[in-house]
Amino acid sequence: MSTTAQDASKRLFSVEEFTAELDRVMPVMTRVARRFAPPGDAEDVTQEACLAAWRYRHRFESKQGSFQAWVLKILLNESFKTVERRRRNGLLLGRLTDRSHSSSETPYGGSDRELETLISRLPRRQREVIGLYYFVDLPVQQVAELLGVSPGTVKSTLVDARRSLQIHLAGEETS
Amino acid sequence: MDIDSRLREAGQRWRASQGPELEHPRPASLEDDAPTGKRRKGLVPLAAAAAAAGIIFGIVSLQGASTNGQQVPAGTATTHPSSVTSPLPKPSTSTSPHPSSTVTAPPAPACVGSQLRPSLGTTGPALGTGHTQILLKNVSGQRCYLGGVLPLQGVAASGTMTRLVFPGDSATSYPSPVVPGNVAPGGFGAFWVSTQLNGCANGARFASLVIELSPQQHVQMPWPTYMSHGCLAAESAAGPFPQPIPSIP
Repeated sequence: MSTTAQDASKRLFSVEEFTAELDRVMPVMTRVARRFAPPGDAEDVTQEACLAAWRYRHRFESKQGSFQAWVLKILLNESFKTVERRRRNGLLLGRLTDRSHSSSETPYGGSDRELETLISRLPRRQREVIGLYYFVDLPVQQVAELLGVSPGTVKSTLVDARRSLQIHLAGEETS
Repeated sequence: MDIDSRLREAGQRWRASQGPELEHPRPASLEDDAPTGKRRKGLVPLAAAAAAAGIIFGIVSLQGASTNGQQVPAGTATTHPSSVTSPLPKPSTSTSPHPSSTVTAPPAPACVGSQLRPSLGTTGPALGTGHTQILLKNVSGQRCYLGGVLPLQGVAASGTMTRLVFPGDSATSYPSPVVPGNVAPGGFGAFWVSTQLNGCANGARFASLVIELSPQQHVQMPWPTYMSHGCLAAESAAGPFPQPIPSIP
């Protein structure tokens, strides 16, 4: 283990230090969990992710990224695993598109539910980037760090996703 | 509107609709989850830390509980739970004013009836819609959390209570979104009611307005006459006032 890693694990070995770090990232963790975990499972997924982070805290290396990115990766993986588990159990049918808080018309004519439905039909990577960038409100750099890709890849994925959404929205408005 | 702006606004509304942040496991839970080999290594200091954290959590919880049970300041309009009926099902809103099952602790204790004093804020028409602002002053010495769409009831002079139903979603009200948060001692919370002025002559008319903060906590105020101008259209979520970033839909 490198000196930096030893320092990091030593620092995070303290319960107080670890919970202080969690306190700092909980607002973002909350949004990620509510965005990517199955509806109703956000709290459980967050708890699992925190416990997993604590269990494997010796693997965290600060030189490879921030604590926030590290713990958010765990949370995202936990969310996807839960989604997959629910999907296998057949409990997720019709619920994945129910991310919108509103079914009513928005001032510009469409609806958030309609938009959420279109987002749910995007390829997984585009969904992740749209969710993290627009809904969780992470900057491109942090989205890239979280997904393990370059900022340029995030930007091009955003362009592709927006183009796809625009085409589908135009198609629905025409029909 | 281009897709980028639309996504930004949808994201903003989605974030505003989310309740208080989730809570991570308590230090004691982390202690229980420590790998066996590592737990042995630092058992004494970690157990001591967990015990100390537990004591601190206990003290904080007790303080929070005593805050909720503090005396009602003079002049605060508070109703007893038994005096408020709920004849109709509550309107379905995603921004619940009460902590949901997925929320274990709000940033501050949720506001209770004894902490808030309701009053009428500003009123006025705009583009065929009437807007009524209801202010909720925190008259206690503790900050409290205010968020979500608060169920409302109208009380007739005879004492009959009627749940107010708003056909429009809270996201369509002005202002929207309303950001939830903590109301400082002496500070204000607020929410807004929109009424449709055109083509609606007979608006709701009651003697007083009951604002439900939770199933057990309510505040009551005289009926804002401006809310009788037109039909009830939409109710915004509640939050601290002034809002950090007001948004005009």
